[in-house]
Amino acid sequence: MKSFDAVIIGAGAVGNAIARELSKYEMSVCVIEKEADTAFGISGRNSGVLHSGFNNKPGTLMAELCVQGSRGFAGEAAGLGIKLDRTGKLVTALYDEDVQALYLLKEQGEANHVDGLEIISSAEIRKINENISGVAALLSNATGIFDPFLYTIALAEEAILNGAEYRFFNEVTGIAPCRPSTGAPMATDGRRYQITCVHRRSQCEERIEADWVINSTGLHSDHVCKMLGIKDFIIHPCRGEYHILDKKIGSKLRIPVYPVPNEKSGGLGVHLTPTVHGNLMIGPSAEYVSMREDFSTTESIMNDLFAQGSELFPGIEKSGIIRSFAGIRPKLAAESEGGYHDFIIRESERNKGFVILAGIESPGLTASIPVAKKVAEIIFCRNQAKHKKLFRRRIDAIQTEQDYGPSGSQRLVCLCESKSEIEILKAYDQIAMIGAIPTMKGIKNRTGAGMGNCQGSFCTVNIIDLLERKRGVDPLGFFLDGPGSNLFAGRTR
Amino acid sequence: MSEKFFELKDGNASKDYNIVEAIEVKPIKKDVVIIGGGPAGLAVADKLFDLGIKDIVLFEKEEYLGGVLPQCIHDGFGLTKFGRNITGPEYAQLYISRILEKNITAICCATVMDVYSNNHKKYVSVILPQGECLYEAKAVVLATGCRERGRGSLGIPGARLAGIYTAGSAQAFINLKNLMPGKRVVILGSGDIGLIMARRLTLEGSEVLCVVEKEPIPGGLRRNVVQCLDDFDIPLHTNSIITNIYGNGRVEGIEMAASDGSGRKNVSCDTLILSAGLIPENGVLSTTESGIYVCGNALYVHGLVDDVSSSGEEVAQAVSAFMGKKDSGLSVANMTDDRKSGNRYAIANISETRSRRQAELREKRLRELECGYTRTITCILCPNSCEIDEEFKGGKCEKGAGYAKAEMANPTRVLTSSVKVAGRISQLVSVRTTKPISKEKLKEGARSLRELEVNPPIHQGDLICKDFIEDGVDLIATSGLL
Repeated sequence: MKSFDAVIIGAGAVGNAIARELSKYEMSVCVIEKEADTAFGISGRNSGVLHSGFNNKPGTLMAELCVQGSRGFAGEAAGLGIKLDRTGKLVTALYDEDVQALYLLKEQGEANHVDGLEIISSAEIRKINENISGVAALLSNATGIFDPFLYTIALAEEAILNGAEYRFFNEVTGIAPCRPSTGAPMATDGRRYQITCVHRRSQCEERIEADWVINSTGLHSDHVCKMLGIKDFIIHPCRGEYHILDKKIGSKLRIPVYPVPNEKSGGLGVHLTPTVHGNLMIGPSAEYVSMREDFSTTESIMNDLFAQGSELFPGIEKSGIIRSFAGIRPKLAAESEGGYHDFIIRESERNKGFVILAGIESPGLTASIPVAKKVAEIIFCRNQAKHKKLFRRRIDAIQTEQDYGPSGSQRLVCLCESKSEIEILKAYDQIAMIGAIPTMKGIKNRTGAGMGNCQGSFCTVNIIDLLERKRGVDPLGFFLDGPGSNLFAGRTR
Repeated sequence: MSEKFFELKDGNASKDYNIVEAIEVKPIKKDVVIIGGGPAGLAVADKLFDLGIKDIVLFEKEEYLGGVLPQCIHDGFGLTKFGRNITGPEYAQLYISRILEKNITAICCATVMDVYSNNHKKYVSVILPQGECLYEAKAVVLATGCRERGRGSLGIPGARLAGIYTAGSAQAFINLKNLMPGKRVVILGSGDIGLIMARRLTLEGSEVLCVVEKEPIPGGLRRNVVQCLDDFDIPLHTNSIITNIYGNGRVEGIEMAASDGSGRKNVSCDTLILSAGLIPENGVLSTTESGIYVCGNALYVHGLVDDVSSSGEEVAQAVSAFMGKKDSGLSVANMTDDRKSGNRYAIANISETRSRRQAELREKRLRELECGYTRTITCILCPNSCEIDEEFKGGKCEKGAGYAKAEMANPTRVLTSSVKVAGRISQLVSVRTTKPISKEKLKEGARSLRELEVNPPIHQGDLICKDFIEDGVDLIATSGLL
């Protein structure tokens, strides 16, 4: 049986950030993920905004960790080799009666020690972009945008560079306290855990032992807690739908524009967010749903989103929509309560060594690295571990196009996003490197191929052909994303 | 087909990747740069050469010329331009042969990134497998074709699943890559490619459950409705929309409804094919400088490839006139200012004319719909799709009556399909029967085709099987493979 100092369940932004944080120390770390690849859950289904921290109640973990995350992000992004675009952000008051709320937000932000907040007039809004509606706005200079896929992937890659192990496509089916089978336990009270996971393709069962188990399962946090009899909270899935608009419209708005948030709703309100790729997103809606992984979009909300987006920025056109998708917030606040509950980040009292993370919704992506540091603190207050001598940064390990030499050509396979053969092959190899299962979605998340106007109708053919020729991939065993998402029914001949 | 593109830093050109470090100092000068090696681009190159403009280069993004034609293995091409009923690969080859004969430079695997102007000079930046390269041209022709409308722009609610393909990509997978998209198929939109794919999938053994069309009339040619849907009893639901897609990983079904949202019902299927419109692809252009021309489907979407070729030839004449050639065959005086200068804004005007024409056609079809087709036979010999009545009248030419008589006695069709290639799992050779065979034997023919296997090299026109299905009808290759 394999044994680790710490097992993290869930390879989202938070799980990866924890793996990466712990991999800085002399300890063995394993991440178990039920999906084929990292960033396949809610870490890849959000606005991709680096929040400055004025939306959260002073004194909460949400506020504290968000502000820390925002301040440290530029440095982290540089080391991870990903792009951060400090666009700033506007919260616009469409009507005079909303203006008061802007001042309250500013006050709240200042209480959280957020820098760079100012209230601006409608004339000043127009100076930023003449098409944005509003009588006044709160301008947050510290806010930015980044690619949530690449960020989450980069964290996993850096964790792996520093010795973390990943098990993808493995679903945890049980966690039980156990006596150590080998060596002395790390946790001081002698408790260890045995985690059972099942590979979703081969159905092979594996048992793994660990001193520390970290539940970073987002939408499934309460289910995983139940495996140890912990039932103190329930996750209320709250779906948010988005539209993605083409770059023609994207080029007209390069700053996120939010409405004044409604206290009762489960989100920040439908907003417009430019993406690092140059597109524009409208969303998300907020709708409590019963299914945790039903990422469907619905007719009525798809229509509403567009109407709400037009209110903030009348320059958008329906013909510019190239894709619609949905994310789901893992909320602790039930629909009847509304609003937010603070993040849960704590060690279970009855099950020492089991760390619970729950309700890591927005601004969880911004706060992911501080959340990881918080988890490390919990572990290290009982178990001292030494810093590794060397922490390898991803930026130093990124392969350049030259490394691909003769095997990769610069011929473009994705025309909309200008992605070359080399980039596709590099993405494929990176997926294999972290032990994930190569999928169409994994390649799309890493390269952007298929994110453009044609949404993959040209490049899917090219990518499958390329991978078959250059990497020996059998198209019949190649998937769109998860289990059952096979792209083909067979050969014609 | 080769050129000297680069000045290398060092002389070591034997290793491919050293070319990446090449430094491009001077743009390569050409009279005309043609972007796109499909039917439009090939026609431009061919015609320009004939008009005496020979210092030209054509860029094609794929590894082969012909654009989308190699995957259009069905027949029905060439009727208006050559008076012959041929398949897509055969049509493409007609033009490719001309390009080769004339020794016109055509570079494949070349993706054009930008067309811009500086000081009234026009530049084309292109990415070749070895690296980026810059061309300067007196005139530039965009023959970049069109793309299909995808799910995003159609706004279909539901889950994001495997098994949703545009008709063109499904066609590429089946006809070029030997891959079956699915077994139980619903097609959204009755554009020509969707109709063609309904037949193709049926002949390949898939079950096409229905075609869902938002409009009261089919989007494609009446001829294709007859020979692709009616021949195989595939239902066409007009005035209908898809309101949901559901499944787990892969499509398991769709919900459809009348266009007003009423009468919702689920159809269980594993594949959804989208054939709901084409959009001209001319985004690469970032200049309004004169001397830049757009033609073919990049200008507006043409119904027939024959018209696309004609559009290319027309533009070649305009380019020739622009470059001061006297014998361009076009009287400059008769051209609008827009065409004379090659201004891209000509596109807007042409599109307007086009949409007016389309609206008229739609009106006509709607009137036909009211009268009903029930008592007539649609002649499928050419795109006119004439309706021949009980007295064998109604055809625009004399062929209509003969067709209707044959259709009543023993309806026949040309069978087009593809055959396996020995030792190559992801390549196919496209084939057709030399003569039409009995309609009843289409499915049987398609089935027996599956057993055939050919050994390369295969050339277009090679005999694949003698007396196939019917005596005197042979099966021949329509594409080649080395």
